[in-house]
Amino acid sequence: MDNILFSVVNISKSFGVTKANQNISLEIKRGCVHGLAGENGSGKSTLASIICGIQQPDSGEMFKDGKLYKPLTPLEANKNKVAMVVQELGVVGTLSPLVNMFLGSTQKYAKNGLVNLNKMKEEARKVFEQWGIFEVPLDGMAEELSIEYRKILELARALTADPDLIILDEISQALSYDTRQMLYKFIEKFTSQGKSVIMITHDLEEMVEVCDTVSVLRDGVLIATKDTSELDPDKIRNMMIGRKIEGDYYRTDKKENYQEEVVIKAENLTVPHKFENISFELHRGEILGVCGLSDAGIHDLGSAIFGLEAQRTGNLYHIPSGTRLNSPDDVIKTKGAYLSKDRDAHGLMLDASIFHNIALPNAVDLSGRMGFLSPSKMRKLVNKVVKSFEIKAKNINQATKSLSGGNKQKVNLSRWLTKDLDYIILDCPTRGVDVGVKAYIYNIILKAKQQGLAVLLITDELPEALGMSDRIMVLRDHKCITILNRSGDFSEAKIAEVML
Amino acid sequence: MSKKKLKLDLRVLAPLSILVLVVVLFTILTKGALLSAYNLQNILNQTIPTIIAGMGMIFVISMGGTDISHGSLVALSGGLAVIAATKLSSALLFPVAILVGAASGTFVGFVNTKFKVPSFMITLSMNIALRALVNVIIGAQTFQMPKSSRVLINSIPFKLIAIIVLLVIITYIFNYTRFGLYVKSIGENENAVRYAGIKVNKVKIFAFVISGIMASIAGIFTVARVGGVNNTLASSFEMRIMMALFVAGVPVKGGLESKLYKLFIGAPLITILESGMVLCGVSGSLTQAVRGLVLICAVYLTRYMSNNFSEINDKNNILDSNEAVAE
Repeated sequence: MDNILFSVVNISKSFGVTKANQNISLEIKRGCVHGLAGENGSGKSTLASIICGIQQPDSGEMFKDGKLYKPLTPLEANKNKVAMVVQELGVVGTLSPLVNMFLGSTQKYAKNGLVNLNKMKEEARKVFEQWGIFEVPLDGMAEELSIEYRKILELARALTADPDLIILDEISQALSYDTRQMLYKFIEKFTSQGKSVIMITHDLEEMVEVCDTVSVLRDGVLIATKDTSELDPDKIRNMMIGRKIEGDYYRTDKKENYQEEVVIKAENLTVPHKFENISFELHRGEILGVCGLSDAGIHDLGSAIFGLEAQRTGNLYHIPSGTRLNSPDDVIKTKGAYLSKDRDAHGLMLDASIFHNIALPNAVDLSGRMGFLSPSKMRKLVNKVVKSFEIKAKNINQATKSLSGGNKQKVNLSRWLTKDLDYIILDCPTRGVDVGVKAYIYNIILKAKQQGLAVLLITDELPEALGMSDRIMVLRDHKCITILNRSGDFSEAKIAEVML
Repeated sequence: MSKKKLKLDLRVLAPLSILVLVVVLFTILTKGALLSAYNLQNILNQTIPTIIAGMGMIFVISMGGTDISHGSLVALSGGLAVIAATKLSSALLFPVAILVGAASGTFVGFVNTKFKVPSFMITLSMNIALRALVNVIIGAQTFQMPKSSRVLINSIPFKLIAIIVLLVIITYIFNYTRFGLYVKSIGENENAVRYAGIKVNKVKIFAFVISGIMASIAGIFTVARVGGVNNTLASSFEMRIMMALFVAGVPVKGGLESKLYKLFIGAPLITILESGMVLCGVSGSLTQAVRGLVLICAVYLTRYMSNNFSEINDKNNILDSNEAVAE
């Protein structure tokens, strides 16, 4: 049998004057994990969506198992055993996870116009079992699921098509450490059966670890396809950007470095069923990382500190002002800020302009007597923010949803950092952004740290926590297990050991 | 930049061109009677309460809510104000009405934010319950507004001054305060506002209070125009206000596209439409049907225009951001 499962020949696709894909040719071998690397806007997602039938190419052909393959819809792609997990969340929130899983193929379970849900459930369980992925709660509404569950649900949905080629677009960014391990195990199992995976990820360490072959795209052009044995993250990064990035983007010092003064003091913080008895002190100029498995409660800790969890007990103080922090308002008044993990749902107003998004949290400081907001003052601030944080946009009236992921996150972060802050809670600040913006964000966080900002950095990515933190708090089973120091045992292995 | 300008112009142009069309059409059909001094005054009289109440309701609409308690609220606050004015003093007309409106708005806002009942449901219940209250208080009687205050409030200078003062206050609150920004932002993404540490509930209650107060002020003008209060006063007034807002392109889901000037296109539009048809001798029920039809057309037209032109704009923006990344 031919060793090539799938090939792309001279695919081109343009949107107006932008050439998203130019003459791209690829061959995907059987049983192989093929990585696609590139910055935001380099054309990887376009290529992926062409392969799975969401868009059609302007020219070029694709072959599967040696036969011409020309899907007009994702369902047609599914019939040809090609499936995809898309980058943006693609579940219907008001339907049950079960129905979501079989969306488009519910006909199979229909009899006399009624859908046999039990049979569907059986089928769903089979998929979870077959591939060794944990079972997502199938009842209720999909919108009630966490991002992680939704991602796994989408993976399971893709698997119901029984594909031999599955495309994973940025799936691991939303996953916690242990679920990622599960995903890798799944990929191993999948490829061992001669099936193939196309993997798109911004995490280049992960890419080198998981993929067998990597293709790098830049500005819609395929730069190179190489075996991972010849590659390392730096080489990929250089190919992606087309120039050398000097140095590492994490900090280089090996010792914790912060001032004596305590900014935030937490005593026995508890939210029932989420976490228990968390106590810590956050110092001026400190980055305190928070790590834990998916259900350890690290993200809930962030929203609880901000005051969004009504059932929170325990004490939380802003020491410099002696304020007890009970509500978001208290946090804002004590010069605090919070960035949620879910940027699009909780952070930005996507339909609104960059101007309004940046103005929103700054209105308190800008407004004068009787709440007066001067439009010119606001414009001045927004222009300053856009300029100093290098947000790439046409003008400040541009709709935020039309920005790239990295620039969206820059808007989201910069509007807080431009304020005179004492402390900030960052929940996965680099989720869904490319390496360039990632390096940029780390850079500004470190700069703010030097100026005395206290940072609570909640993250799913261990390298990020290790690379940025002075200390790392590890949560397991809803409890704080340990707090590690940068100068002590600061390694991925050590954290994984206490986390699991 | 020029495209942005063009898009904005088209969004305004759609409802504005309908207004012009309606004026021209009925001027011809009524052989100029539409624009006679008497009729213009009539149109002004009918438009003013809609504009005043609309200036309050836009706060609720722009945060994605609905307030359909207005008809009954106008009758109740108007009734209580007139009773207070006849029994005690004419100076109490506005204070009593404002108090009733504020109380109703506070109640709606409180139930909406504390018990998470959708604003449509509460204000629907309020509309029914307040109407019942009106029936209890007023019954089958008609309360006349004291003649002196009626003449004063009905005079054109008083109305114009009132509307200018209110317009200045409302424009200030809606466009130039952080509260105004928050209200519209809630319509865009309530969670984003909550996660920005803003007291969303407080903002919402305040929006309902403004809506209630403005409805009650509009109520006094309505009572002054018709002379007194009976138990059917201003029924389905709320629909008229909403129509004035939506017909001129205020988005139903609220947000930053909710603009005050649209009210000044929408409110005259529906009054002129009605007045024109009455002058042409069209029957009352047919007038209602035409009103409905015009609303659908206008909303469709505004949507069509803004969708099509904003799409072009977005595409351009995406291209731009890609180019920016590629640099």
